[in-house]
Amino acid sequence: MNNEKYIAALKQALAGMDRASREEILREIRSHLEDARDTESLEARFGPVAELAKQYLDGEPLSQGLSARLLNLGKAALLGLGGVALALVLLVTGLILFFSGDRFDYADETALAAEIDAVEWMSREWQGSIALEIEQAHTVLYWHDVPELHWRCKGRDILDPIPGSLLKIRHGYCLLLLPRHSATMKVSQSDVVLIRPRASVEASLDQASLRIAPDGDRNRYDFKSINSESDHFPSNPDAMTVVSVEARESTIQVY
Amino acid sequence: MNEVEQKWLAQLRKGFLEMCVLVVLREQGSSYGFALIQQFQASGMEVNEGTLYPMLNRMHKNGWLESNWETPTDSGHPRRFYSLSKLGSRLLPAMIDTFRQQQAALAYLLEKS
Repeated sequence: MNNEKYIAALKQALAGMDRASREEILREIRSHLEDARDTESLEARFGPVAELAKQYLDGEPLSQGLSARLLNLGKAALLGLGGVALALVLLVTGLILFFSGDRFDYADETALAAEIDAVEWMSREWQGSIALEIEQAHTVLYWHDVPELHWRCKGRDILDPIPGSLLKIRHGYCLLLLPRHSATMKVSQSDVVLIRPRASVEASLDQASLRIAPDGDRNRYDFKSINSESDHFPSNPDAMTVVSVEARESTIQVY
Repeated sequence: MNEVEQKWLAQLRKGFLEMCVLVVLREQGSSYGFALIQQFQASGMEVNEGTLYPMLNRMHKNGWLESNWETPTDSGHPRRFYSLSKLGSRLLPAMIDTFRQQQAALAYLLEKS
């Protein structure tokens, strides 16, 4: 085999290698020929083409064929599209959560200053226990030292309370400031938040969510759960203020 | 010599030759395939082109060597010059230490036996 045929055969044998590396190898062998300037053939110096190619290809990642490259291109495109779709889903989810989420920190006293679409605070003097009926509503309760019930609600069915009767909240959104009288609550399919209860509460939950911001160790908690889940609360057995909850298919969480 | 023996010897020589390439390039700064073969043959080592060139290529791919094409003024054709990379420079002392330890261990074992 003459030297040109040897180089052509080696080029063929190295076809699996990337083009730049292959061309550099062949160029180096031609350069060697120039240096050697003898009559001995490349085959005699470098050995059989197959053996030399094997040496060069040892541990060399083979370049891919056209079909494999197209397949990889397709995979990359799909991955790229998947990434874009995922980013869009995350963006939309984030926006939904941002605009629909509860961004209000009710445990913060400054929450009282929050506006509910400029709805005015209402108030009534109040004696005796308080009865609340909350249905499909979102209600946050605070306690204060004034013998008045203050409320600020937005919704369709907020019934003006008369002392001694029920305060009904349906399909609404309310902030309540309760006097320090014991309260009973019947809560159905609603989200209720108690901020540091300062008077005893007896609640009945039905498919509802109750969140409580504990008032240090000043509360005793007594939960009865039916198909419900509740967090652990720092209950003080000697406390006079008792939060008693009977929950059915509901959750009770620390706020 | 059977095939197993040839394979063992080839592996032993391969590691040794790689170390020798690094040694020469460290001493000379840079060199090219044909010149390296002449130097090795002058030192008594049996090195052929079919072994050395793929080895240089692999050492370059491994990052032990750097290479660039140069056309010296006294010669009309370009050559691929190799030199030590930073990795190769760090690797060589460790290679020499290991080789010397093994050489000493072998000498000790031969003497004892």
